[in-house]
Amino acid sequence: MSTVFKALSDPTRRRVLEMLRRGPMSAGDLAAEFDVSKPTMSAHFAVLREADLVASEKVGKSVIYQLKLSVLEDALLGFAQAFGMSVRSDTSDPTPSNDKEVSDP
Amino acid sequence: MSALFLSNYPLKTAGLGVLALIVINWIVDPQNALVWSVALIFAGVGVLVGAILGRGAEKRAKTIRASLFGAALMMAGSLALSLIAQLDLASAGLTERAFGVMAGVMLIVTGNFLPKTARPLTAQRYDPARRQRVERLSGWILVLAGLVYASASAFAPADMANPLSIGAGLSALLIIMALHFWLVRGTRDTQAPS
Repeated sequence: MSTVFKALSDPTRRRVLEMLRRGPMSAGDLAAEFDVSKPTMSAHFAVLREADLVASEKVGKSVIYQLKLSVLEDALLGFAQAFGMSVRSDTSDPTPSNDKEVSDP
Repeated sequence: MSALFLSNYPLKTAGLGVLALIVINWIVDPQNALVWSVALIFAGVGVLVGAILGRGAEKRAKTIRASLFGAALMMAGSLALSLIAQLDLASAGLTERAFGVMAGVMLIVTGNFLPKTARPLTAQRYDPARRQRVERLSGWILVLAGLVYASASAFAPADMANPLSIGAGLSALLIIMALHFWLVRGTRDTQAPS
């Protein structure tokens, strides 16, 4: 459960989940919506996968993500969106240490 | 160790265990058949969903195990409540309410995990976005129906408890059927990029 809280604590990851609510999307389309580097975005996807909130699948050359939220996780996401749940940046930021292009708090 | 056992028990043994519990339930309290058969239908749906939609043999087995475990739990609970009533340890009304709460909790658990069954996009017959919306809504409806079912069984006056709980369960079932009809009727307009 702690991995779920960690995943939901970051606004970028919450926005990714919000976008996936509309339907499955490719990693490229999702990343295009954010002003962050590819390694940062990949790390965000990895955190979401680790928490089992999204499922990924390779279709042709693209990696497609689809939502995998239980009702409780869905409610937690709504709660986090409404009340701006966040944790300290040193625990929520998945960016690799050599990546300087970080725009998320 | 027990967690390892629960996640690895043989499927055939579990199936036989559930079957044995059904027979014992039938012998002990045949009048209760209608109530626990509803719970068994939900477990059966879980087993079918696991068998058809599960990704890979391991995932399929995991979903089926969870459904069988839920069914066994319901049967054991039903048996325990029947025995309690027959031994006059509690009134029949109290055991009926307890079983209603159990059935409501089962609806909540089933609804909670329903939207988490992601299928491979290439294996989906219907529009993936529409399917996702239907499963998300179905999950919420089942959870809310389960809450109403359990609350009505626990707190509503005796003459209102059954109509309220069964009404909530049937309404949820009808709405979910309508949603799935909408899913089947829809064309696949969201294609997975190649």
